[in-house]
Formats: sequence, C-alpha cells, structure tokens
Amino acid sequence: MEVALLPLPTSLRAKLFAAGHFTTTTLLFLTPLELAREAQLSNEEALSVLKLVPRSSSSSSSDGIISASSALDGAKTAWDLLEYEKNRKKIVTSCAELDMILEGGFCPKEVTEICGVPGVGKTQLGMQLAINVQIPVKLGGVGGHAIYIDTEGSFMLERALQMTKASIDELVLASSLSSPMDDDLIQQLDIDTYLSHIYLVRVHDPTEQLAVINNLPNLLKEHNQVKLIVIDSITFNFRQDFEDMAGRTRLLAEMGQKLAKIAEEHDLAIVLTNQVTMKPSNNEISRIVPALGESWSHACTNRVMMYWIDTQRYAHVVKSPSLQAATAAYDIDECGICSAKNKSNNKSNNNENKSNNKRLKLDEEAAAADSNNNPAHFC
Amino acid sequence: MRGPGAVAVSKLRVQQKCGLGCPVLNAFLSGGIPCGTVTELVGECGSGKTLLSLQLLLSVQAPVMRGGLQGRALCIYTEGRFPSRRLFELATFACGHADGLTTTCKGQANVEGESVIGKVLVEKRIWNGEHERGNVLGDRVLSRRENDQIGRRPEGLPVDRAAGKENCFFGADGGNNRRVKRDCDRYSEENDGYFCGKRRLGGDSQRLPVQAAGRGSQPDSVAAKERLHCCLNARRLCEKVLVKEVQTIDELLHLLSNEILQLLRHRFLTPVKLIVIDSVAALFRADFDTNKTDLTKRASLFFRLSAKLKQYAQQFNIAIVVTNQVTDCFDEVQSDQEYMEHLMTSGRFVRPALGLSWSHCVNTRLFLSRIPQQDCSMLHKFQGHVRHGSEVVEHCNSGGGGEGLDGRRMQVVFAPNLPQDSCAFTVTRRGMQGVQLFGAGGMSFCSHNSIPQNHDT
Repeated sequence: MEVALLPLPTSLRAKLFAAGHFTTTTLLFLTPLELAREAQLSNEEALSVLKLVPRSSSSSSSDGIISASSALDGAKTAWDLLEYEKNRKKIVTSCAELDMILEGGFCPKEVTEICGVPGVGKTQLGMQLAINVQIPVKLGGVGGHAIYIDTEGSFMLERALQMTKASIDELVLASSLSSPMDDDLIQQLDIDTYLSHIYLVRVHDPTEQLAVINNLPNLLKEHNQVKLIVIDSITFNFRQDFEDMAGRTRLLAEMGQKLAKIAEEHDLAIVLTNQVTMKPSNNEISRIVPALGESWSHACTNRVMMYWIDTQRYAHVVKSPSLQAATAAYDIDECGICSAKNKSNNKSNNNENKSNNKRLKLDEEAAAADSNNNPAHFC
Repeated sequence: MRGPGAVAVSKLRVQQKCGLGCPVLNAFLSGGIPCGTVTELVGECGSGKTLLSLQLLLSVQAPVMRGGLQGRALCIYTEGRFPSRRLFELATFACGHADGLTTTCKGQANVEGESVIGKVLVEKRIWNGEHERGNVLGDRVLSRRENDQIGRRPEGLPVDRAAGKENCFFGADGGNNRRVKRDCDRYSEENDGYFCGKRRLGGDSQRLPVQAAGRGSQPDSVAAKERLHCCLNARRLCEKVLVKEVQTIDELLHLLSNEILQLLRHRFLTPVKLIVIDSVAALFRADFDTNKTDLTKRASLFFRLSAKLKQYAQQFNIAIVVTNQVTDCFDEVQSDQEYMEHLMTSGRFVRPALGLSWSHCVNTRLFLSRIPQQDCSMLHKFQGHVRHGSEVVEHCNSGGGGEGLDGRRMQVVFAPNLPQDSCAFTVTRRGMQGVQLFGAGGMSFCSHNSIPQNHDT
C-alpha cells in the first residue's frame, strides 16, 4: 500500500517521502523511534503513522507483493485473478474435444452464448451442462445445482431423465474403478437427487423473461448452491414484434449486464442459447449470423457457434477473450453430448468442403441411385 | 415484479403423448406427439400431412391406455375445405368397421392369424364400448378374464363373422357396450333414413351401407347392425372434432387470443387436447412481399404465433401440430446459403417453407416424404423380412423390379427428445401406417450441409 493513500497531513507525508518511504512495506519493520529519527518526526507523530500502516498487508500478499485491493475497494490484482482462474472448476461438456477447445469446459463467472440452427444441439448441450454441473466434487466435478430457464418449451423431462441416467451410470462406473463408493456419494449419484437439483423456470413472454432475470438474485438466495444458469433461449421472446427496436436493444443490453453481474457475484456459469438468422450481404450471398443484432454480441464473454458439415456437428469458438478460435466435432447420442464417433476429420479442408458440398452430395445421391450399394442412402 | 417460480425437475411429470393410431409410428416417436410442445409436419403435397393430422384428430380422443389423450380436438384449417369425408372414413376404420378390421399395422401384416382376431376384438371393444362413454364412466381396463376370453375366440372363423359374433358376445357383459347397442337399435328403428340424411358425411356410399346391407335378411342383419354401430361411433368421433377455417394470420392471432382461449378454459366441455393448424404456410403465402421490411414483419409474426401456441401448449398441457409445405431448392450456386439440411422427396431436394426464422419457432420437425420409385421396389421386397437389419440391407442390394407400392417415409429432422432417424410408412384407406422395415438403426439419410459461418478463421 502506498504512503500517499494513508490519511495523513500533507506535511507529515512530505517528510515520509523525503525520507524515502513511498510504500508501507518499508515502514512495517520500523519501530516508532527509528522512524522518528529517520524522517525527523516527533515520537508521537511516528507512532500515529505506524498505527495507520495496515499490519495484515504483508501476510495477504505472498512474496512481498503489494496488494492493491485495499486501495481500491473490491479490486483484485491480475495475479490474484490468475490464481483464481487456475483453481476454479469448470463444467465439463461430456465431449473431450469440446472440453479441449473450451480449455476444460464452461467457466464460472462467465457468460457463454451458444448459437446455431435448430436441431444442431443447443438445447441438448444446455441440458447436458445442467446435469454435468452436478458431478460431485469428490469425482472432480463442480457439485452444484442448476437453474434452467426454458423459453422455447424444448426442455423435456423424458430426455433429461435419459441423459441423467446415462451420466450417472458413467460416473458410477468411473468411481467404482478408482475407489470404493461411500454412502454419501451413493446418495449423491441418484437420479432423483440429480433431477431435484435442476430448477426449471418456464417463461412465455418477454416481460416474464425480464422479471425472471430481475428475480434471479432472490432465487439464488433460495437455492444457494446453484453453479449454473442456462437460458434456452435468450432470443425467442425478443423476436416477436417489437415496435421499438432501440428499446429492444436497450432491454437486451440491460439484461446482459444483469446476467454478467450475477455470474460475477454468485460465482456461477451462465450459458445462453441464441438463434441464428440470415443476414443478406452485398454480394447476394446471405450469411448466417447469431440473432439479436450487433450490439448483443458484446453482452457475453464467450460465443460458441454450432453448425453442421454434412452429417457431422461442429462447435467453433467464435469469440472469447481467453480462448483460441478452434473447432471441435461432437455428436449427440442417447446418452447426450459425446465425442464424434466418425473420426474422419475434415477440419483442414473446410473451404473446399463448403463449395463442393452440394455437388458431392449430388454425386453421392447419383451413386446411391445407380448401384444401391450404399446402405446409408437406399431409401 | 416477480417472475414465474422455479420448479425442481424431479417434481415434473413426464409429458403425455398423443398417439398416432399406429403402433409402429408410435414406437418410432416414442409414444407420439408430446404435449406442451409444438410439432411441425413438413412435406410436399400428397405426402400425408393432412392425413396424419386427421388421424391425430381421431386418435387424441382414444383413452389414455390406447395411446390417446381422451380429449377433444381442434383443427384450424387454412387450405380450402376441410376434408370431412376422409375424416369420417378414417373414423369408421378407427371404430373397427367390419371392412376396416385392421386398425393396427400388426393386423395388416398377418390377416389370417388368430392373434389378429383377438387384437381386433380388443380394439373394437375398447373403441366401441369405452371410448365415447369414457367421459361418463371413466376408464375401464380390460380385465385378465376378459382378455383370456378374447384369446380363446374360435380360430377358424373368417374374420368378418367372428367380428359379427363378437358384437353379441360382448353385448352381454359390457355395460357400456349395451348402451351403445341400445342407442344403435333405437336409431335404426326410429330414424330409418338417418344415415341417408347424413350421407354426405360418409362420402362414398358403400362405406355406409345401412340400407344396402338389406335389413330384411336375417344373417345380414347382424352385420348391418354392426355397421350402423360403427357409423354411430364414427359420428361421435367426428362430433368431437372442432373445425375452424381461417384465412389470414391476423384472423388466427385474434382467434387464438380470444375464442380459443375461452374454449381452452371451458370447464364443462371435454378438454381440448390437440390443436392442429393445417397448414401454417398458407397463412403466410399471401400478403407478404419478399422485401426486407415485409420479411421482418413476417418473421415477427412467426414468433408471435409460436409464442402463443407454446404458451397454450404448456398452460393447458395440449399437443400442438402445425403442418408446413416445402419449397424446391434449385439454386446450386447459392450453396453458401444453405443453412439447413437438404431433405429429399420424390427424388428432388426440398427445404421447409417459411425459412430459418420459422424453424426456430417449432420444437420438433417431422418430415414426410415420398420414396422414389426404385426404392419403393425395395420397400415392397422387404415387407416380408422385417426384423433383421443386416439381411435387409443385403436384399436391398440385390434390388428387384416391383412397382406400384405407395412407399413413404417419416423422418425426424430435429426434436428435443428423439434422435434423427426415419421410419417408412404406407398410406391406405385406413390411414397412415408405419412399416417396421429397418429393425437395426435408422437410415441416416438426411444430409446436412455446412454452415460456413466464421469457420475459416
């Protein structure tokens, strides 16, 4: 801590500066008498200065690095943040490749947006995360609960049940290999327990959605173990006819800020799904872009785009302050999200793929029609 | 301002499903069309969208143990006149009309077998006896004893006669049935020309042969009564289908937020359990240009309609089915634009109408397609070899030259609870029936195109 920040009269401060004391660390090891002699202060003055020097500052920062947190209330040094980030647990996706590009999974304190065409697996990923956040701490998981805000009506208990069962079976198998299960763990790995820790909120119009988000802090007080909030989707209610587009932008921005604040304060991960829309561009080729416009794209920390190439699903990190732009293939089976089974990785020749896609497909069709020797295409 | 409360998922109940009236298709869709969500049926004309809608309008009325939801159905029809004759025809089959004995696919596969007779009897019994009266008397589950009796039906009898006898047989012990039978007799006595007057409902007259059956001759009178009985039940089924013809989207939105809401809230009617909109594409075909402002307006209307539908679906726990048309995609140049999978029907590529925005508005999309001719021959070939996946494929390769079979396919394009898969079905006068062709796995036919978006960084 700097001497300049101590509540001292200017004359005293000037004397301390003159004696070469700019930070409190140098003052820590001095007795009042020594300080009085060095800085030419009276003994009383020296004593009052030393009383103001916070004793704890040396213990809080290791290696004598000065903590600025007391200087600016609530602020942390970059080092502290790094330490925090190293230790935090991420919510895994159940797909190793996807985890890899996300460097371990979905992070607490961050808002991540998943975009994609219908059917690519946004909802499935959301449900999978709501299940995976509950992996007990003993097994290396986060061990938290989840709030699932469903605006599209696609959350189906039937599917959640199926995925939970699969997830628990896998965990039981994994944990029984390493160490014997204790009662506590057995109780945690129960379908009912799992499902009772997902809190579902159904939302039907934009007003309700805003109300739910405003009410989240209360909800979190009630369920204080929540480590993940999924909103599926943030978009649906805001694509109805809004007369006032500027108003919509404002509402969205406000919502984004609130979510970011909640994520930070409650130390939880927020995952939003977003729809996509066609954006016509100059050369008559429309592009697929995430919905809600340009200003919304600043609202979330990370953005992951999900898309198809032929019959393979891919996820691509579009925007992130800390992650590299990378692509991973994934699949969805009856157990939920999983690694791509088909290992023929055509990541390298995407461009080629893109342009030849249709032609290839036509060729395939023709071949299938000719010889019928491709079982995948015979009908 | 406090939003809706959070519910722990463990406290939820599994969504009910509205069956399709065919066990194979029901199994394919893991029970049918789920309540609380919006399901879209996409297909070219003549692919069976309307037929399936009609079938659903009837099957939703079946008791829960038969895969229905025991509710009323509402059909919002936007394309010309509602096909009421077809609905009645389907209804007579659903009631187990002697000519329409096979209400299940299983029945069709082996008409000769005694299991069929048993099956049909169960079917008839439930539909005839309990179905319509169910509201008054509640569900009745077939007891073990009754089942056994059905199992012991005479095997050698021709199906028709067995069915005739069965009527008397069950008339004696089924209270419900007796009542229906009494009504039936009364109608035939009092209103001799009753069905003449209602003939337009029935459409082709040989299906309603009350008079043609010759009421005088003794052996035929049982059959005639039987037919009358079916007609009566079919009429009751049809009476529980509300049809509203709507031309524009504004009209529909108005209807949804006023009359339909009142209907759904009605306390004393059998609850509406299914709303069908056939088709949603027709609502948006007119009135909208392809310039940017109109497209934006159209898209926002999609979301408004969909939000309303989803809200009712969840609030009243009903199943919602909308049908949509397809548009051809012939623009090979614009392959960069392809955001969705290509779907194939009758040997050409198509794409669901109304674009990307609309596809965000539905929870489940089912695609109905026709199978191109040469593949039909395979379908024909395989009706015999059902359960061996690998074998089927082998036979397929040796492909033969059969023709003329009406082969079609239902494909899950996306759904929150189902894998992408497809199932073959046929369309007959009895309606839509699944064919259990490919026992092992689906035909991963749907091909998804790339989204080049931001990918080449």
